[in-house]
Amino acid sequence: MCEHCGCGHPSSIGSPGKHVHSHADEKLAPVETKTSREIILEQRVLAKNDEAATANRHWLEERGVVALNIISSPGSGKTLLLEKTLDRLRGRVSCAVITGDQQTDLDAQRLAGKGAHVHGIQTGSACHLHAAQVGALLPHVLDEDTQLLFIENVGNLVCPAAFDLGESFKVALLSTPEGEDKPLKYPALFARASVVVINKLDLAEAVGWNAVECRRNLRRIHPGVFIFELSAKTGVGMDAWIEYLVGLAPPQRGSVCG
Amino acid sequence: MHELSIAEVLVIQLQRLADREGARRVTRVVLRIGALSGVEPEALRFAFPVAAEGSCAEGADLILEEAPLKVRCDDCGAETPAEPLAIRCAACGGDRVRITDGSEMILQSAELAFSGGER
Repeated sequence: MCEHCGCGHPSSIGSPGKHVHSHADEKLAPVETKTSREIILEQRVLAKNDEAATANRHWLEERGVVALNIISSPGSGKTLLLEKTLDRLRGRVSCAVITGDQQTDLDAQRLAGKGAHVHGIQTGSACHLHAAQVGALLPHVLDEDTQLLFIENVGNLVCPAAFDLGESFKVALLSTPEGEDKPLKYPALFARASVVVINKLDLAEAVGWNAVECRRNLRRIHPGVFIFELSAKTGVGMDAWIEYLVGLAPPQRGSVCG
Repeated sequence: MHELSIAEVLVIQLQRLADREGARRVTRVVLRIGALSGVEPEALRFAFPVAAEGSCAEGADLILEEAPLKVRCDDCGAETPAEPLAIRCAACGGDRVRITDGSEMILQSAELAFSGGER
C-alpha cells in the first residue's frame, strides 16, 4: 500500500518512502491539504465608524464648532428642549441642528424657522446615527457663522452610545417619568455623557421623582458628570442650561458681534 | 438592536482579512467586549450568524471575552480596575477619573482556514 496516500496502489509496495505512482487519472476528492492559522488583529470593530467620526471632529474643530450629540429614550423631550433652546439662543448664538429619526422629518419641521439650519436624517430601520451620515450633512447644515451644532440622535438609550459621531461630547437626556434608576440600567450611555439633562421637572411630583437618588446613581457611574435639572415645558431651570450653552459657544469667526 | 450593524461590519472586516490572506474561510473569531461598550453579548451571538450567512465567516465560532473596566485617576495618576456601577479610583478613592479601557469592542484575533487545493 502506498504509504503517502494509502491508496493501495501496487507500485508502491516494496518501495517504501517513494511515492512513484501518479494519481492523475483518478478522481480523488480530498486533494486539499487543510491548514489553519490564527491571526492576531487587535483592531476596533467599529474602526470604520471611528475613522469617519475622527474626520468629522477635525472638520468641526477647524471651523471652531462645538457639537453636542444628544441621546435619550423616545419621548423624553429632546425636540421640545431643542425648540426652547433655539428660541432662547436666537440672536445670541448661531446654531445648526441635525435630527435623526427612523421615519418622518417631523422633528426637523418642528425645529425649522427658529434661525438655525436644520436637516433631518431618516435612518430607516437603524436604531442610531452613524458618523458617515453626519459627515455627509455637515457641509450642508453648517455655515461659516455656526457656533453650536446639536445632533438629536434617534430615540434610544442603548445603541447610539456605541457610535461616535465626531461630537465634542455627548449629552444624555433623562425625563422624570422614566425613573431615577435609568443611569444604572443604561451605564454605557450615562458613563460616557459629559452632561446629563434631567427634563420634565414639572412632572416630578406626580411621578414621585427622587432627585437625590438620581444624582447619586449618576455619580456612581460618572463621578464628574455635569447635571442640569429643568422643565423645557415650563422653563424652570432653563436659564442655567442656556447660559451654559452661551458660555460653550466659541467666538464667531466672522465679524465680532455685540 | 445595533448588534446587527456591529455584526455586519465585523463580517466585512473578516471578509477583507480572508481576501488579503488568501484564506478560504474564517473558522473562529475572538472579540473583546468592554463592560461599558454598550454591546449585549447575547444579542451579538444571535446577530453574528445572520450577518455571516453566505460569507467566509459562515459557521465560524464566535468567542466573546469581556474586557474589564479601567480608569485613570486625575488626582493620583493611577490606572486601576473599576466596577461599572461604582466608578472610582481603586488606589486613592478619588472620583476624578477617566475611563481608559472597557468601553470598546476589539476584534482580537481570527482563525483562518486555508486550502491547498482549489478554492
